[in-house]
Parts: sequence; C-alpha cells; structure tokens
Amino acid sequence: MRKIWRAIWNRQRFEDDLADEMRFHVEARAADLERAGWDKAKALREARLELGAAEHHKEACRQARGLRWLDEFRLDLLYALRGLGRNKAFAAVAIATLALGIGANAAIFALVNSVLLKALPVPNPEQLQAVYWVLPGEKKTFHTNSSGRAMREGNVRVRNMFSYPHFERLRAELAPKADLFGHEGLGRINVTVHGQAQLARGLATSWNYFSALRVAPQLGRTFVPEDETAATPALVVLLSHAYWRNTFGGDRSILGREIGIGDQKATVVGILPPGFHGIDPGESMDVVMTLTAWDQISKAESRNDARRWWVKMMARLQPGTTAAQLREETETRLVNLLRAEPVREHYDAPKIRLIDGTRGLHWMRQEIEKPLQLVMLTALLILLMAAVNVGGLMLARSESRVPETSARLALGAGRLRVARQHLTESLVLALAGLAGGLFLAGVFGSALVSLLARGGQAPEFNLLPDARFAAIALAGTLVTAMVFGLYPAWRSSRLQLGPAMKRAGGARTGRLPMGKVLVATQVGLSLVLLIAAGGFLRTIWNLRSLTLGFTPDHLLVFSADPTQAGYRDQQVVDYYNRAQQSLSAAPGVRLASFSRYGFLQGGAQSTGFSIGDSKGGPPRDLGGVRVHSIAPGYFETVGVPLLAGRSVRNSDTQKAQRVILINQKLARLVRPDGGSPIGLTLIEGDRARTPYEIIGVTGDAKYNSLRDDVPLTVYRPFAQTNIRGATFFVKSSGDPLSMASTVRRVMSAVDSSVPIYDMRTQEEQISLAMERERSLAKLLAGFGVLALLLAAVGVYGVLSYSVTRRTSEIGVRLALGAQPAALRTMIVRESLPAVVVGGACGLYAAWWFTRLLESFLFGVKPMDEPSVAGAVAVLGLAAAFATLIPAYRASRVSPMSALRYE
Amino acid sequence: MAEAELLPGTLDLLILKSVSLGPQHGYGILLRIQQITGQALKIEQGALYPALFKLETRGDLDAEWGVSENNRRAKFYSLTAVGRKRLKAEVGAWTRLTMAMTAALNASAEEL
Repeated sequence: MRKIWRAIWNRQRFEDDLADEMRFHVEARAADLERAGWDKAKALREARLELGAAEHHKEACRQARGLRWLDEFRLDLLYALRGLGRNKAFAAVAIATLALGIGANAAIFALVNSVLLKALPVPNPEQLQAVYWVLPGEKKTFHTNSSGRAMREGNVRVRNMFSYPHFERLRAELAPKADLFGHEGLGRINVTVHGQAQLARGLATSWNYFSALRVAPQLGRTFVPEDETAATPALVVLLSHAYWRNTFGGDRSILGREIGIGDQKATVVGILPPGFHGIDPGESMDVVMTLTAWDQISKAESRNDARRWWVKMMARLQPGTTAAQLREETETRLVNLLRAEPVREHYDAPKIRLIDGTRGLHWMRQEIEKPLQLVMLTALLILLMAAVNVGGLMLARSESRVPETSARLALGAGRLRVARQHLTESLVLALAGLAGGLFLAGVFGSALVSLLARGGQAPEFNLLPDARFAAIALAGTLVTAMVFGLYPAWRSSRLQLGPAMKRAGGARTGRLPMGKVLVATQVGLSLVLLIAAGGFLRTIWNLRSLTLGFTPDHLLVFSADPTQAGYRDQQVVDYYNRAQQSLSAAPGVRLASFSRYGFLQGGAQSTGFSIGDSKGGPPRDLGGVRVHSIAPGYFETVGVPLLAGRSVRNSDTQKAQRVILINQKLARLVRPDGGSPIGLTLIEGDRARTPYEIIGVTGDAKYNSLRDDVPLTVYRPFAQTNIRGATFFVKSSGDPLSMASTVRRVMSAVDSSVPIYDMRTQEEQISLAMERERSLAKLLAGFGVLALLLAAVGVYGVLSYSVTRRTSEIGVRLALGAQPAALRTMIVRESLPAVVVGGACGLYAAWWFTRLLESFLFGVKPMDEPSVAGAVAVLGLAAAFATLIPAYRASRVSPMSALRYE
Repeated sequence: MAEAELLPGTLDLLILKSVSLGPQHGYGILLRIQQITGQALKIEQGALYPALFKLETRGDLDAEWGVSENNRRAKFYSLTAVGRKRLKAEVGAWTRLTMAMTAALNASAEEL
C-alpha cells in the first residue's frame, strides 16, 4: 500500500532518482575509461554507448517496479476527467441520473441494513432467542391482556407475552440452560423532570436484562436482583444516553437524583451506553425500570397475577445448550405451571416457539420485511433504468469518438488499453454518481423512515453506515459502472480500423447500435413501475372511501390518563365525569364523550365471551371479542348508530346491574335466527363471573385497522370497568382543530396535573393509520414518475441521436423530393417496434411484479385494468413526444445544410 | 577472452551474490560481477538496472542514497534478510543443477 502511495505522490522523485542513477553510472564508467587513457569526450560517448538506450532501460525499470498499471490508471483518470470536463452537459446528465438511482438504493439499503441485517450491538448476539407461544386451538384466548404484539405465521397467531409469576418461575427453573430475561415496552409514560410533567418512552425489564445482554452502563450501574425481587423494590431507573444528553444536558451529577414517574419518585442510578436502543430495532426507550417497579408505580397489581400476561421474554443460551433443548424445556415447564392452576382445563397447552434473537425482536422485521423488499426491488429497477440510460449516452458518446479511437488504435494503442480508458470514464461517472447518491440518500432516508411509523411516531433507527453498507454501496456502484460502461468499451475496442477511418472523414450514417434494445428496455421498465404506482394510488383511494362505521368529521380526539397523576378507583370515575361535563359545556362543543380506546390508535383489548343459554344449558362459546369501555353519549359523539335498545347511562355504576352493548356482527352470531338479542346474557372469560345483560345493538365500526373486517365488539359502561387511560372525543360545530386550545384550557381547569396527549382530529388519525400505505404509495408513485422521466429522456436521447446522425441521409431524401410528412412517418415508424416490444415485455413483467404487490393492495387486484390502461396511456404519450420531437426536427432540415452537414 | 552469453535468470543471482559481499552502487555491482566472474560473462549494462529495480521491489535488496568513493551522490544497494535467504536457496539450486549437468555431460558409454 505504501509503495502504491509513494508511486502516486513521489512520481517525480522516482523519475529524478532514476535519471540520477543512470547519470552516475555513465560518469563513473567514463571516469574509469579516462583513467585507462581514453580521451574525456570519447570516454563519455563510449560509456553512453555501453549502457545503451537510457529511455528503454528506464521504461524497463518502471515496469520492473510492477506499478505500470497504476501509471496508466492515472493517465486514464486524467484523460477521463478532461473528457468529461469538455463535455459538461453529458457529464451532468449522466451523474445526475446515476445519483438518483444510487441515492434511492443507498437510502433503502441503509434501512434494510439497519432493520433486517444488523445484529444487536451486544456481545455474542447469536446466543439470543426470543420466546413466543402459540395456542393450537385458536379462537380462544386465555390471557386477559392482549396489548402484547401478536404476529402471524400463516394463519396462526404467535404471541410473546407471559405472566410475571410464570416468567419468574421459568427464569429460576431454566437458569442452568439459559439466562432468561423479561421486558415490556411501556409506551409513553408520565415523567416529571425539573418539576415539569412530560412524556417519555418507558421500558420495564427484569433485573438481569442488562447482565444477560452484557450491556454495561455508561455511568453508574444497571439493575441488581433486589431492584426487582424485593417485595417492595426501591424505585430506581436507568436513562438512555440520548435522553440523558437531551433532557439533562449530559449532567453526570444526575446519578442519585430523583425524578417523578407517574405519581412516584424514582432514583436515577445509571446511564445506558450510547447506541443501545433496546432489543427491538425501532422501538427505543428513554427511561428503564424493573418490571416490579413498574407494577408498583402503575399500581397494576399484576406481579402475583398469573392471569395477566404482559411480560415478553428473551433468553441467552448458556454454552452447551441448544435452542431445541431450551424450547422443549420451556414448553414442559410452562405447561406444568399452567396445569397447576385450576382454571385452565378446557384450553390446550400452548406450544413454545423460539425465534432467533441475533438481530433483536422478530415482529418488526416481519412487519416491514416485505414492504422493504418491495421498495428495494423497485429501487433496483430504477437503478437499472438509470444505468441503461447512461449506457445509451455512453454509447452515443463512444460512437462520436470513433475517429479519435481509431486514430489511437492506428497509432498502436492496445485494444485492452482503449477499453480500459472507456471503463475508467464509466468508473469516474459512477463514483461521482455515488457521491451525489449518498447525499440524496440522506434526503430520501427520512422519508423512508416514515414508512415504519406507527401512530404518528417515527421509530429511531441507527442508519449510520457501517462496513457492510460501504462495501455494498461501492460494489453496487462498480456493478452499475460495468452495466453501462462495458458494452460501449467492448465495442470501441473491437473497432474495425479500415471502415472506421474511412468513415471518419465522410458522413456518418446508420443508427445507434443497440438503440432499439435501449428504447425497449426503458419503455418496459417504466411501464412496470407505472402500473405498480397506479395500483398504489388506487389502493389509497379505496382506503379513503371505505365504510368506517363511524363519522370522523368535526371530531377532535385526545388521550388522558388520570391514574398517572395518582387517581384511584372512584376518583378516576369522578375525574372522567367532571371532564366530560366541562367539555360538553365548553363553547363550540356539540358533544363530548370518551372511551378506553380510540379509533385506529392501535390499542385494543379482547377477551373470550360466551352467550348464556336461555334454557339453562351450558354457555355457548363466541370466541375472542373486542371490549370497549365507553361513557354515556359515546355513540352520538362518534356517530356509530344505535340500532336497538339503549346506550350506556350514568346510572350504570359499579353497584348497578352489569350491562353490555353488542355490535351487529356479534348480534348475528348471538341470534343466528335474526331475533333480538336484548335481554340475553353474555359471560366473560372462562370463569363464571357476573353475567352481563345485553341492553343494545350498535352498528358495525372499524377499530384497529382499516383493512381488517369489523371485529366482534362489545361496549361496557366505563364505570363498571377498571378504566385507566381514555381517549376523549369532542364533536365541534366548527373546525375541530380550532377547538384544540379551548379543550386544553378546559382539561387544565379540571386538573392540570393530568397530562393530555395525542391531540388530533379524527380525520388526521385516519390518515396516520394509512401512513404506511400512503408512504409506500407516495414512494412508488415517485418512483413511477422518475421512471417515466428516465424513459422519456432515454428514448428521446437515443432517437434524437439517431436522427442527428442521419441528417445527411434525410437531406438526400428531401432533396430527392421526399415529403416532410412522409419522413416524419418513416422515423416514427422505425422507432415504433422497439416501443411496442418494450411495452409488451413490460406488461408481462408487470403481471409478475404486481403479484408480489398483492398483499399491499386494497380492493385492487394485480394488473388492475384502470392502472394498466393509465400507465400505458401515460407512457404512450411520453414515448410519442420523445419520438415526434426528433422526427419533426428531422423533417424541417433544409436539404442544403443537411448535405453540407460534416 | 571469449565472453559467454548470460543464461536467463542468472543475472539476478550474480547481483545478489555481488551485493552479499558488501553494499554497492549499480556501477560497482557491474564491476564486481565482472571481477568475480573473471570477465568471462557478457553483461548487458542496461539490463542491470531493471534487474536491480525488480529485486528492490521484490524486497531482496534495500536501496539507499549515499556518497560514492569519488564524492558523488549514488544509490547503494544492500542485501535484506529475504535476499540473503533467497541467495542461499538459489545457490543451492544452482549447484545441484550444475553438478547434475556436469555429470550428465561427462557421462560416457562405459559408465552406464
């Protein structure tokens, strides 16, 4: 390496030394000859003669150093730079085209790398296994908290949460085989810093989370066993490095200080290292506490409750244990634990599934793997188009340099040298494109991250380039350079000297070699992308015009959680009643109500329900049902119609009869005969709890997802449930957003210590829910436009080049009496087959490509006719313009100037 | 005196040998080779320098600018450890070759 470095920078020095050495030799020899009695001048001459041709020896010396290729490369580089400098327009177009293609790919690959490929930044990540479970007989759920994320494997839902007592027992029992640790993302929690309440992202972990991951604190300590296992653990928290820097300015004296979490005080004992974002790529946290500390702060009382499943588990295998052994052991022990409990007999035992945890949690990858692959594939198509485009330009350029190239060959340049010269130029272009692309990647990158946003919050990713990124980017660029540079280079090295030299002086005729292939490729590729973009635009349209089942207009929504400010039991109910009354009385408010969960916010609770048999037989199982806790006035406010019976009233309190409303879908299941379900009894869960009397039937409404069907839903009065946080709905007479400040004022008057958050209009919330679809659609539509542009420029470039080269031919035709109109037809007709063939290939490729897209589309089938028709029309128009302009120009050529051309 | 043509590859060996006797500049190496071969070999003076460069690039020789006996700036070559090892190996190989060749060329019908 040093040698190469020296060879480049000490080039002059090397030459001087070489000359010096030769001179010394000659002079020393001459001196010797003089001593032997030669005349001085004659001696010098003789010495020179004996040495022979100095230049020849020098060249041999240079070659002997083995660095000749480097010298040549330097020359090629200078030559390429000079050539591009002389042809700035060509260079600019080529570099911009490549930068677009490379930039799109680099941005997407950075994301793919971060989400799908990078291992967790902990030692030996390959020993990590995430623990999931699957219930063979689906439908029934035997856990009461479904906030844990479930993912699908085929039709089976795989879940990843366990109860704390189960986790604690499993951790102790499995200790010889694996270091089992638990964690649960807390979402945003109320943190009081410097006397001010704010929301921070919380994470609850078992005490051994950090020791098992082998993450050492940046400052202070991580957790010790007592932080979790003590009956009443001391409340201690760890802060993420970024949160510490942003909120406390990196103040080291923070250790030992107290911050408020909920209505409690917790002591900061440690700062996590920078770059550690937890085990879920994309779900980062600010404040970390132990599971039991969180249980205490949130007063959830789930620590000893084996029915509340909320702890996610991961394990680090001990040396010598295989994943299969751990899986079997975990399953046996879990089933034993479940058997020991009295109430689970009619559920099948869950099956344990281990998923490789090297790169962190699984669900995020599974969720975005396909969209990312799709986007990556599309970006590669764009890059291919860009390369084809630049290839066309290069080809045209090398054609116009035929005289120069043939002169070089005639003067004895090696054919390989000529090809290398051209390839060097491609390389320079590609590297410049890479530089521009990396810049653009930064711009595209932020747009891409929104693809992964959930509930309006973009996740944090470590998009910083690593060695893999650098290697792939460089390799990709080189391959691109090969794609567009190899053929022109190969062609110019294969130049037939005779014809080329003869042609050099005279008129050049004929078309651009491969021109038709270039046109067809451009047309085909852009057709694929346009059809895909059309499908996505239609998907957005379809999602927008969906039947929601509720009325989003004039609706302002926000969330509040009085339990985070210390409210308990009846106080919570009173708080909500007060808030509802104050909001309803505020000016501009037509209706105000609240519910445990809002629409499309991602929260949901579902429980197994069964319907009591009126003739006294055993209850009939209905499967999992979504449960909502609502306030009076809810249905009127959100616009879900009440079809029969009555809604919730203020008199439905803890002491009153338990009542419930069901949606139409559930009503059909309850009374398949179409009779009225009102007055029947619903029973929750697997325990004979107090039954609920059905008091009303509502319309069907979508809740969690626009794409999924309406779920089976029940509504219970909030006063009869253990409601904690809630989403408020305010129906205004005017613009809902203009109500925001009024609402804040009212809520602050009710109690300023309760933070309210996520305030937006319901329509905005719907848009947010479609964020991913929309981002994907925008991205693909953008790619489609880009492809169209590239295709138009490419087709235009190739055709106008061909027309220019045929100027003299056209002149002859005109001089011989050809009609301009006939000439135009001729030129258009000549390019038509390429466009048609390219289009046909494009349609075939699109048929295949849209099949890949199917799961992203909504209400649109692959090769959806309007998208295809639209894409063909748009592309046809672009191709027509790209063809007609050169044809028109050609027909306007004056015969005389055409004949004189060159 | 009749000068023999140099066999291909032998120049490298001769250079290594002559430098092994002490650091020397290019012209000195030429003189020394002529001296130790008793002027019996014809050395192409120009071929000397590419050979030197090759050996230097390969790491057999070290080069340093110094002052010659007549107070002029000259490039002095010396043997590196690698070069010493190579010299030893090549001398061995050469000896085996010449012995085998001599034996073969002196063979007579009776000895078979």
